[in-house]
Amino acid sequence: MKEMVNLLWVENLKKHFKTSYGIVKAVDGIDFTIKSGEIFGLVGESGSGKSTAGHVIVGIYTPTVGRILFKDQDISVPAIKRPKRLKREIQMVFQDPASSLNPKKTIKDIVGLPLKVHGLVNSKEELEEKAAKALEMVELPPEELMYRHPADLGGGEKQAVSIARAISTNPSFVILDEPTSALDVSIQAKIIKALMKIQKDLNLSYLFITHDLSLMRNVASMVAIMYLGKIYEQAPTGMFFYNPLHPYTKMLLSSIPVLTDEENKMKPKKVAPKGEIPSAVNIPPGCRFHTRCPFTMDICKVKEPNFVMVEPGHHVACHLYNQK
Amino acid sequence: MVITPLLEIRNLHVGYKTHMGISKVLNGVYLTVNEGEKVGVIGESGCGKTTTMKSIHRILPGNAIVSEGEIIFKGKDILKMKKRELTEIRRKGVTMIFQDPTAALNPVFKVSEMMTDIIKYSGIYEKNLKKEARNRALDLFEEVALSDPERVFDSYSFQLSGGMRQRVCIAMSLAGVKQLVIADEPTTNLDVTIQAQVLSLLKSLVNEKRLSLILVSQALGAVRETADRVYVMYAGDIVEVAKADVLFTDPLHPYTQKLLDSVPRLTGGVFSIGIKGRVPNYFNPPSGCRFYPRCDQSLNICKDKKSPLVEVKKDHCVACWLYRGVST
Repeated sequence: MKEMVNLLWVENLKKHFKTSYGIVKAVDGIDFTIKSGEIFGLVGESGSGKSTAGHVIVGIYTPTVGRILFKDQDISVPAIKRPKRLKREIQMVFQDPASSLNPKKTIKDIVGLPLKVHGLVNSKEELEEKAAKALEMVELPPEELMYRHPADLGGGEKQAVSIARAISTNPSFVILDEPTSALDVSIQAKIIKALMKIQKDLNLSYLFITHDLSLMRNVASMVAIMYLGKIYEQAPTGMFFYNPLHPYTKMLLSSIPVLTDEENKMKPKKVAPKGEIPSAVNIPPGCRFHTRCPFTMDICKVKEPNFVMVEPGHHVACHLYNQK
Repeated sequence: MVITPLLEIRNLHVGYKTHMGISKVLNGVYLTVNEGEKVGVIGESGCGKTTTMKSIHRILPGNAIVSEGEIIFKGKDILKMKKRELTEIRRKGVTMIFQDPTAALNPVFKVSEMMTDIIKYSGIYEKNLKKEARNRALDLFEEVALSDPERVFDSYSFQLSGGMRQRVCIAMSLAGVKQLVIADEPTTNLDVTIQAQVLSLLKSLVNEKRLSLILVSQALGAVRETADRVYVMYAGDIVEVAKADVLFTDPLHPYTQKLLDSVPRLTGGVFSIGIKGRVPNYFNPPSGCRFYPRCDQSLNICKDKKSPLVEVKKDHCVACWLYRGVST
């Protein structure tokens, strides 16, 4: 078996935005590494900063503080200064396929653009051939779709096109920002199946961002949970779902409405969810989750917990586990 | 004793007139809601769930054509009502919670103004309207567990978070004395933790006030945990009806089976391949069973003739030829 090497390091990454009502600390110090060939899941409620983290890594934003290393090279610089070779290797699929595809362009233009930008094709015929190959990988019939516009396609097909666009340059790392949350479950299953197959065939690494924990269970090999710009628990998928530690993880898991009794048994004892995620402008002091936590202690309100290892590979930031 | 249902939809056909022709969305929908019952409606987007719900309130867009069918509410056909009677139904009979609370609340009015209007319209107070309305609104906000009701009352909708907005909408829908609540995907835009809070709130309010509920949702798990009976809708047809626990453990219609298989499970395991194809084009829908082009188990008869909804087990109805003893 090939040894897994680290592909992406993220170290103390922060992204703050200045707004008229104060500084929004969207991402506020996160660390993780993604190995090559791994599917790293990032979950959290809306407003937890998971999408911003993805955007910073792909280069849409420049990090405020922190380092991102990709294949041992520092990419925490403005996107324009990043080596083009590395830009080719990091691609992204956005949440809403309807707004991430240009309605005026044909499918061939959309899938072919990254090929042109990165100078991977020399002639029109080559572009057509490579675009067709990318479409075939996502199980779309190229001869039917090449010269049609996004408006002619259904939601699932549009998302498949944006996946084809992301993999057309033969990347090694793809960021999937809620790739199926705008789709029906029946279509979602198809898209996920295609994504998993591509990942195996091309030995890709994914950063899979979603709010759907049941979906995460089925795709990711490592899961990290984010709350208000910080990672609060991180573990390999099996451990994460069978032995969740952080009260926030338990709250999320116990809120999921499920379909079968086996799933019900798996859920942690009901932690009644209360309250909503606070604004990222006024972050609560101490542990950021203490305002909603059923186990709040005095220390939680003043001191931020450390991110500690509780069992091999299983990290959590919570005072309940810090004392041991 | 025969229980007369609170609401009964019979053979409802609704289409939309567009420049490309008539899109025939609803193809004979049957739905009953008994008093005090919680009914779930599930299906993919574009299956006519919202169209059905809107026709109960008669708030379909102008290009909609109701070509056939009856909607009987407490013995009277809503589709044949005069405007005055219809207003009574809207005031005191049926209420609706919409999918997107952001779009349902008008951003140029304060919550207080909207609440007062609704309380006025529901006609429960005649004297001292302004003062009574405020008290009533604050009581309602307490009921829906909004923290800081005074502040919410004096805010604009954009100053509230998504969960708070949906709570305001629920408070509005419960302002008058109602009998039936239609919740059209009330939690689609909300996070799971908020979804769990909103659903448990809705459930307890409905139980407490002895209302009936129709919960339309794509979140199958949410329907399973809330509803007593579930209708499965596909392309304008009701394809299966059963008690919630039965439907989710023993689905019969191939569409229901495929749909349930598509949902990722917390326990992990094999991932299904979903359902091939997509919801049909309503301008030219398949004749016969509308699901047959996507069905793996289709028979010859499916192409030409739609199976009626028949009871194959106790309280378990399905519209599929596979259960009618038709051989291939």
